[in-house]
Amino acid sequence: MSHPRGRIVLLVAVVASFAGMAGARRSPAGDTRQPLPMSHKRHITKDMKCRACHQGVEGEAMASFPTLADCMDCHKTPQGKEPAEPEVRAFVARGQDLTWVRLNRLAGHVYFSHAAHVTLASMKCEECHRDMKAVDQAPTEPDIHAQMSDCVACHRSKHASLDCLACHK
Amino acid sequence: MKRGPLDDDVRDSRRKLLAGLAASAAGALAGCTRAMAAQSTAPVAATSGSRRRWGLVIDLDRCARCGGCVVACQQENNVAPAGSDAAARMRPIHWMDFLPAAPGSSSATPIPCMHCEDPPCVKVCPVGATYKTEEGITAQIWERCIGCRYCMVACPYARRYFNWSEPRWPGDVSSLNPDVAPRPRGVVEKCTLCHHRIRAALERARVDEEPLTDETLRRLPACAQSCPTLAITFGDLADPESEVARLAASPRAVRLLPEAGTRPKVIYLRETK
Amino acid sequence: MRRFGRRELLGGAALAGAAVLGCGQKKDPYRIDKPAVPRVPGWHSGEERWVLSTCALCDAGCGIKVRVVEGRAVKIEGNPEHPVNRGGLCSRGQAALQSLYHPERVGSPLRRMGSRGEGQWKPISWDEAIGEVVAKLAKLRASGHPERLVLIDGESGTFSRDLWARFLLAFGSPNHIGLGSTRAAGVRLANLYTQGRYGLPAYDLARGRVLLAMGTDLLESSGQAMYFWRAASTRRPRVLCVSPRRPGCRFDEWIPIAPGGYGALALSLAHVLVRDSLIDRDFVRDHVFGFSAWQDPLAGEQRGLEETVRVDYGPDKTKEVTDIPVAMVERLAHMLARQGSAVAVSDGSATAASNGLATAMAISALNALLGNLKRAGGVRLPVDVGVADWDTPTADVVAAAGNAAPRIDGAGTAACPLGRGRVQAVPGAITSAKPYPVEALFLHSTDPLAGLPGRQAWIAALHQVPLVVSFSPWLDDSARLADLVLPDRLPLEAWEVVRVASGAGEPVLGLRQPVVAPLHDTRQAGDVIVALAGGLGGSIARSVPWKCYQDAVTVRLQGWLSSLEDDDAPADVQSLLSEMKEAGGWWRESADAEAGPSELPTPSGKFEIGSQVIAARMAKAPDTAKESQGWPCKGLPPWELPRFSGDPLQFPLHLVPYRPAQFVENGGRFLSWLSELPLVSGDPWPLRAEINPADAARFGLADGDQVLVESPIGSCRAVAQLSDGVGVGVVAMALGKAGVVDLVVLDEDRWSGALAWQGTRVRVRKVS
Repeated sequence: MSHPRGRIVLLVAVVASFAGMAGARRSPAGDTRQPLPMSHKRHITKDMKCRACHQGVEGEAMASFPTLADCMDCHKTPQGKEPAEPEVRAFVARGQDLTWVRLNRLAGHVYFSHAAHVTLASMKCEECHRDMKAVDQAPTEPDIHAQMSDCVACHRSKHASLDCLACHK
Repeated sequence: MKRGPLDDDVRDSRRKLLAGLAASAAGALAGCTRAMAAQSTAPVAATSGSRRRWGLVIDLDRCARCGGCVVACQQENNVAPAGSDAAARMRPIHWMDFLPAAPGSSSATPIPCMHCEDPPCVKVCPVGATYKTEEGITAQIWERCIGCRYCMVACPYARRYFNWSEPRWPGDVSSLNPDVAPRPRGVVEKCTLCHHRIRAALERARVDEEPLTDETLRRLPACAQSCPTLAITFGDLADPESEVARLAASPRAVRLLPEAGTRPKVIYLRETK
Repeated sequence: MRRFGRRELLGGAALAGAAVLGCGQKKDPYRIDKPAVPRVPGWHSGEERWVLSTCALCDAGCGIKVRVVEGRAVKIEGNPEHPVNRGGLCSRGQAALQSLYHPERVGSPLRRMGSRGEGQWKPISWDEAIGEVVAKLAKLRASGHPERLVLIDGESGTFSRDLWARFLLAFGSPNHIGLGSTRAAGVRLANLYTQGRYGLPAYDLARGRVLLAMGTDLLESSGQAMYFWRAASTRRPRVLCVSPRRPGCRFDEWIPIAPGGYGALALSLAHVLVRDSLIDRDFVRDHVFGFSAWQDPLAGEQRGLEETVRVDYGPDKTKEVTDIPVAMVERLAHMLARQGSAVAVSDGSATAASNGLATAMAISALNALLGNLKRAGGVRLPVDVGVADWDTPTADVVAAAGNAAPRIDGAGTAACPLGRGRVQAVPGAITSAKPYPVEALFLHSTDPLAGLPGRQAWIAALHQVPLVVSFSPWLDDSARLADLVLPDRLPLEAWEVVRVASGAGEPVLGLRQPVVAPLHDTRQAGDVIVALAGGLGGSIARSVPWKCYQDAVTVRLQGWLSSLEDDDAPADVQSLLSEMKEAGGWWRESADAEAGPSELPTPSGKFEIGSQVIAARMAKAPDTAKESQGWPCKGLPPWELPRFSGDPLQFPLHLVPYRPAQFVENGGRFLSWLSELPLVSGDPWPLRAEINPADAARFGLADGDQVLVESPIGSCRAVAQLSDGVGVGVVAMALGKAGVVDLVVLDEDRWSGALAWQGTRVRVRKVS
C-alpha cells in the first residue's frame, strides 16, 4: 500500500472543527466505557476473523456488534483463563443486554456501506481500521479520522464511482 | 398573524403559479389531442454512457387522492414541517405535492419533481449544485447550494423549495431517517426519486448476487411504496421490458407542459372517462 | 495547493471557513464553511430492524411495519402481507410517528392544582394517581351507586375496550359509552336490523361494476377507503358519487344532491326499480322479507316496501327533497339494474342526519332489490373472528344493582329506541343530574370537547363532575378540564389485540406490540384497569385477576386458540403470539365468501327490508307509538324530511361538514404532516369555506375573501373558496380544523340516536 500510513482511509468521519455534527463522538479520555473488557487481540485467531463477531460487515451497510447470544455461542462454557472471561456469563445471569458503544460515527451527510467495500470491492478491514490484533482492550476511541479527500483518492485509484450521490445523502 | 405586503406577494405569486400549472395540467390530463398522444409515446432517449433512465408513472385513474405519498415522502426524506405561519405563506415543503383541482377538472394531481431529460434548473445553477446523474435523476447537492434560487425560477413545474428558516422538527428528532441528510436554512431542496433507496437496492442486489428485477423496483421510492392503489410505478424507462416503459407507451400517457421541451421522466396516465 | 470552496467564491460568506482554514489544520479541498447538516443531536445511522404492528389511527386496522434504528422508530410502511391494506398506507397511518415523538405528550400522571381548567398541574406518581382513583371508586361502591361512574371510550374492536366492559360489569356501571352515534351509526344499525349483525357491511367492490356511493366519507376518509382503493386498483367499478359536495377522491360521476335527501333518492330509485320491473324477482321472493305486506304478531298489518315506494316515492315527488331530476333517477336506476353487480353504499356523511337510520335502511334495501347479497361484486356480512370474552365476570350485589340502572345517555329507552348509545346526550344528563348524578367520568381515547358538537355543554358538564379522569397522551381540550391525567401509551409503545375485518369481510386479529421502549412515564389503559381492579379488591379483583394487561391478552388468546377447530392452528398460545409478532396479526384467507344468502341471523332468516325486530320494539314502546301515528309500516323507520336547525331566512345556506382524507378522529390536529397536507383545496393551513360561485355572487363574496361563517350557535372565520364542487345553497367545510365543529347544532335521529352532523344552516359574510 502506498498510502503514508500504510492504509487507505475510507470513511468520511468528521474533522473536529465540525462541532455539533453527528459525526464521530470523540469522548474525553476515560469517558467511554464498553460493557466488557473484551480483548480483540485474544479473539482474532486463524479461525476467528473480524466477521465472526461483526456479522453485518459482509452483507449490510452497518458492521454490526455481537449480541450476547453471539458471545454465548462460544462462552457458554468457560474459555481460556482470563479473569474477566466469566463476566460475559454474568450478563446472562442478570438478564442484562450487552450494549456496545459505537465509536465510529459517520458525518450526517455521508453514506457508507461495509458490504459495498468488503464484499463488492474485496477490501480488507485493515485498509481503513487499525490493526485490531494489537488491541488488548475493548476500544474506547474511534480509530478512523478520514476526510473526503481520502475517500476520493481511493475511489479515483480504484475507478469507483465519483458521483456525489454515490456517497452523499 | 401579521403579514407584510411582500409576504402576500410571495404567497400570491406561488398560488398563481400553482393555479396556472393546475389549469394547464388539467388541459393535458383531460384532453386527448393528437399532439399530446404523440408526445406521450415518444421514447426516452438513452443518452450515451448511461444505462438506466429512472422514471415514474402516475396513474390518475387509480390514484385515490389519499395523500399517503405526500406523508411517506416527508417522513422518508426528513422534510421539516413548515409550521402554521410558513404554511399560510405558501411556504411548506412538499417534494411530493398535490396540485389543486383546476376549475372543471375532477380532483387534485400528485406532482413530484419531473426529473426532466432536459432540466432547465440544471442549466441556471451557478455553482453546479444541481446536476443530472448518469441514471437520469435531477440531483441536488445540498452542501453546494448557495440559495440563489435561480433554479426555482427556472423550473416550470415549481418543484423546488427553499428553506426560508432553519428546519425544526417538533419535539424529538429521533424519528429522522438516517439515510437522508436534513437540509439547513438557505438551501434549495427537491425530490431525489429516493436515490438512497435506489442505491441501497442496487447494492443489495450486487451483494446478494441476484439481479435487480423490475418487480423489486416498481415500489422502490417511498411514494410508490406507500401508495394503497399502486398508482405510482417506478422503474427504468430505458428498459423496454419494464412496467414503467410499458405504461409510458399507453395511449393514456401524457407529460406535463410538453411545450416547455423539458422531456419529463414522470409520466401521467390520464383518467378514463 | 489551496482551493477555494464554492461558497467562498460565490456565497459571500467566507469568513468562517477561511478562518478555520488558516489554523494550520490538514486541508481538505472539499471542506465547506458551515455544517452540511443542521444540528440534529442523536441522529445517525445504526443497526436497524423492522417491527410489525397494526395501525391505530382509525378503525380499519391496517397492517404496518415500522423501521427501527437503534431503538428509534423512523418510518412506518404498510405491511404487504396484510389482508386489510396489502402494503399501502394512507397519510394518517404514517403520521402515527409524529404522535409518538410529539413534544406535547404528557410525561407522567398529572394532578390538577388550582381551579378546574386553570392549567396548573403537578406531576404525581402512578401509585398516587391510581390510589386516588381507587379511593373515589371505592366510595361510589360503598354508597351503593357504582352506576355513577361513566366511561366514554373512543376505541372499538380492541381487547382494551373489552377489558373496560368487563371492569365496568364487575364494578356495576352500565355506562360504557362509545362514539358510535357520532360515526356511521345509521349504517351499522341498518345492518343489524336488515341482516342481523351490527357493524359496517363489507363490499366485494373489486368485482363490482357500479358503485353508487351515497356520501363522500366512505371512499375519501373512512377506514374502508384504503381497502376499497387497493381492491379496486386492478379493476375499478364505475364510481357514482351522490353528495352535496364533490368528493376529494377519485370518482367517475358526481351527482349533487340536497343535504338530507339521500333516503328519498334511494326510495325513488326503488320506485323505478319496482315500476320498471328491474328488481331481482327470484332473490326478492326467496331471500327478502318485507317487500310485500305482512302481518306482524305485535304490530299488526304492515305495509311492504313495494307499496310504500310505489305510492309515496315517485321521482317526481322526491325531486323536491333531493333536487335530482326525474330523468337522472331513472338513468341511475337503470344503470344499477343493467350492469349487474352494482352496489349501493352509504356512510357516516349520508346517514348523519335527523333521518339517518331510515336513510341507511333505504339505501340498504336497494341492494336487496338488486339481489346483491353475498354474491360476486355484492354486499357481505363481515365475519367476526369469534374471540370469546374471558370467562363470565362476577358481579356482586352492589354491581348487579348498578348494572340494572338505566344508562345516562338513554340508550335502550324511549329516548333512543333503536340505537345503541348517544354520547352527545351525556353532557345534558350530567348537568341535569338525570337520571342520576355522575360522580366520576373517565375519558379514554376521546376528546369530546374538540371532536363533538356542543362544546359549551361539555365544558359545563365537566365542571360539574367531581372526578374527571382523562387517559389522553396529550393535554387535549378535554384533558385540560380533568382532575387527573393518566397518560396512555401510544400504539407504537403498547401491547394490543384488535378485532377487525378486512374490507372484504374476512376476519383479522391485528396485533400491536411495543415497537420502541416507552418514551415517558406512561401506562397503557389496560394496565391501569388491572391496577384499579386490584386496588378495589373483592369480586372486581377476581374478575380482573391478571398481573398485567399483557397477561390478560394472553389468557384470552389461549381461550380462543383452544376453541379453534383448525388443523393449521399453532400448538400453544406462545407460538400463536410469536406467529402474530412475526406477521403483525392472525388471519386466514376467506374460506367461502359466497356461501349464498340463505341463513341470515334475522327473525325470518332473510334480508329484512322491513324489520321484524323494529316492528316488535316499536309496538312495545307506547311513547314512541304515539309519535309514530300515521307511520304505515312499523318495520321501517319512517323516512322523514330532514330537519335543519336555523331559520332559512336568517341562515340561507346548508353547512356540509366533511371528513377529508387526513381526518383523524382524535388528536389529528396535533400532527403537522396531516394539517399541512396540501390535499384539501391545495392550500394547507387556513380553514376554507367552499361555496358555489352562484351563492358567492348572491352574497357578494370573492375567492380568497376572509369570511365569517355563522350558525345559530356559533361562528368561525374562514377563507372563502369559490368552487363548482359544491352544490348551490351549500357551504362545505373540512372537519378536523378548529372551529367547524362549533358551528354544528346538536341534533340527532330520534330513532337511532345518530348525531345529525349535516343538520345545520349557516350564513356567510365577508369580514375585513
